[in-house]
Amino acid sequence: MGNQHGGQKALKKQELKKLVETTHFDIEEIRKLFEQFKGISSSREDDGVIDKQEFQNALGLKDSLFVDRMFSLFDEDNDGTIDFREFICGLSVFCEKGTIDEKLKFSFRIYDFDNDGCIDKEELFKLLEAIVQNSLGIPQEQLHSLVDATFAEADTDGDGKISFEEYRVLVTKHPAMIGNMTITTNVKRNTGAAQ
Amino acid sequence: MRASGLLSVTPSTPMSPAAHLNDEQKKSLIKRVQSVDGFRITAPLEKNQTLPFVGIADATSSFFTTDKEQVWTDDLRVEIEDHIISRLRASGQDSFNIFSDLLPVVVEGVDAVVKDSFTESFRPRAPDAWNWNIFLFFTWTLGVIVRYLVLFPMRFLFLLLGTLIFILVNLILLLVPPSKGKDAFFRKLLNVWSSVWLYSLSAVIKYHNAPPPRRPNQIFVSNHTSLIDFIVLTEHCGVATVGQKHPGLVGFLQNKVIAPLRNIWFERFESRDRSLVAKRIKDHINDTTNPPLLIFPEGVCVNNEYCVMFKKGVFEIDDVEICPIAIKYNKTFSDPYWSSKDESFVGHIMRLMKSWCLVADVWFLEPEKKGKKESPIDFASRIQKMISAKAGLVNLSWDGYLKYYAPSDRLRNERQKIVANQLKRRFGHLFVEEEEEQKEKKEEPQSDKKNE
Repeated sequence: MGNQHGGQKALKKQELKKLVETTHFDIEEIRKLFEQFKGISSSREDDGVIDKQEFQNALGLKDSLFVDRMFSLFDEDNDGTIDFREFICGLSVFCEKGTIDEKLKFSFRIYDFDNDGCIDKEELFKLLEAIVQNSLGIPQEQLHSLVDATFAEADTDGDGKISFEEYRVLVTKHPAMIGNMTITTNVKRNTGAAQ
Repeated sequence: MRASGLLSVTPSTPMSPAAHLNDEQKKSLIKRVQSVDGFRITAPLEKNQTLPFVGIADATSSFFTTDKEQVWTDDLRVEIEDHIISRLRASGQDSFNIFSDLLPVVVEGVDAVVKDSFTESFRPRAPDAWNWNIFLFFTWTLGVIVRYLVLFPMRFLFLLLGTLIFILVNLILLLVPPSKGKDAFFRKLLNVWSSVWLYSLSAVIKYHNAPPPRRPNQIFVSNHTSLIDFIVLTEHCGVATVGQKHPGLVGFLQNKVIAPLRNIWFERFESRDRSLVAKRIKDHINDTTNPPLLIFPEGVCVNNEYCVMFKKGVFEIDDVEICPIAIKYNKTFSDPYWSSKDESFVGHIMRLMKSWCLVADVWFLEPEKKGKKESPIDFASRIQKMISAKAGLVNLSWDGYLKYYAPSDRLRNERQKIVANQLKRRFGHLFVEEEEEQKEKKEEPQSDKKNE
C-alpha cells in the first residue's frame, strides 16, 4: 500500500488521534470517511487532496458561485485544495454532535465571502442570485429589495453590515434553522470475521 | 435536506413495506433517492446489458420475484417518495428569512458528498495504486507488459481452443442418442470446459469443506459477484440452474446442447405462476439424479464487499434444505465484480484475463432447514447473515432491484413545485405589492366617476 507522499494516502495513528480529539467523530467514523475522502480526492488526480474540480464532481453541479462558496467553506487555509483535516473538520460541524455555536460560525462563513467578519449587502445579493439563478424570472431590483428587507430586520446597529453578533441574534430567534443543519454519516458496519 | 427530522413525519403502518427496514436503512434509502435527483453523485444504474444467456444472474432468482414482490418494491419507492415530498412541504413552512432559505441548499450539498452504503455496494472498488515511485513504476510497467502481451494472448487462445473443442465434441454428441452414459459423459465434459475457463483466468480457488452429500430437496444458495461464480461452482460440483427460455441459437443451446444438465427453463409468462415454478423446482430437486440446483437469491451482482437482501422465493419451498455457499474473491490480484452497466460480459472476461490471476475462497456451509416458527423472510435473512459472516461481507437489507432505481417524474415535479412555491412565498410580498398598486390605479378613475 502507498505511504505518505505529498497528499495523504494513509492515515497516521497520531493524526487519527488528534482528529478524534478535535472533532465529533470516533475512530470508526473517521476511517470510513477517509475511504470516502480518498474516493473523491483521487477522482481526477490522485494527489491526496480534493481540488475544485473534484469537489464540483462530487457535488454533481456545474461550476458556479455556489460551488465556490461550498469549496471555500471547507478550504480553511485558502490554499485551493481541501485536505483530509479540513474535510473532517468541516463535516464535524454537520454532525449530530456538532454544537450550535460551531454551526453558527460555519454557516456565517457561507455568507461572508471575504472573511472580514461581516456580511454586507453585495455579498448576500450575489449569493442569493447564484442560488436562485433566474429560475423564476425574478428581476434584480426585487432581489435587491429582498436583501434590503433582510438587512432592515437583521442589522440592528444600522452600519450597513451584518456582524456575527447580529447574525447570532437573528438565528436565536428561530433556532430550528440551525438545528436542522445536520447530516448523518452512517458508518455502522456489521462485518463478520472471514476465516 | 436534513435526514434527522425525516422519520418523525409519517409513522409507518404495520403493513407498509418500509416497516421491514430499520431507521438507519430508511435514512440511507431516502438519501439515495434524494441524491439521484438532487445533487447527483451517482447516476442511476441502468438495466443489465443483454448477452447471449440473457441475465442468468438475474433469471436464476428473478423467477422468484413474483408480481407481489415487484409490487413491494414499487410500494416502497412510492412510500419513500411520499416521505420526501411531505417533508419538503413541511420544511417550506420553516421559511423565516433568506438565511433559513439558503441553508438547506448548503446542507444538501454537503450531504451529497458523504456517500451512502447502498450505492457503495454496487460501486466497483478502485485498487490502490502502488506504482508511485520510479522503481515501482518500472516494475509495474514490466508487469503490464507481461500481463497484456504474454499472459493475455496465451489465455485467450487457450480459452478459444478449449471452447472450439468443446463445441466440436458437443456436435458429435448430438448425433449420439440420449442415454444415461451420455449424460454422465456430458457432465464430465462440461466440468472439463469449466476447468478450461478457470485455467484461462489463472484461477486459484480454495474450497473449504465439501458440498453436502446429494439428498433430495436440496438447493444451493450463494452470494453473487459475477457470472464467474457460476463457473467456479460448476467446476467443482456440477450444478443446474434456472433460467428463461430463449428462441434461436440460445434456445438451441438450451434445449439440445446443455440438456443433460437438466436445467430448468421457463417461458417468461410461466414464471409468474408461482405454483408452477415451485412444482417444477420441487420435482427437480427431489430427483437425486439431477445435479443440485444453484440459486443466487440476491438477484443482482454485488461488488463482493457487501451482501444485499436475499429474496425469499427459494426459502418458501416446503421442507427445502438450503446449502449455503460463501464466495469471497481476493481483490489484490483482480477485481471480479461485474458491473454490467460499465462493461459487457466479454469485456469483463477480457479484463480478468489481463489481471494476474483470480483468487477466491469458496466455503460450503452447513445445510440448514427452516425452523418451525421461522418465516421465510427470517430464514432468508438468517442464511444471508451466515454467508456474509463467513465471507466477511457487510450485510445490507436492500432489495437488490433498487439498484435500478430512478426517481419518478412525480418526485421531480413535486420537488420543483415546492421549491418554486417556497421562493414565491419569499418574494410573494413583492408581487402582491405590485398587484395592489395596479388595482389602486384601476380603481381611481372609477371612484372619480362615481363622485361626479
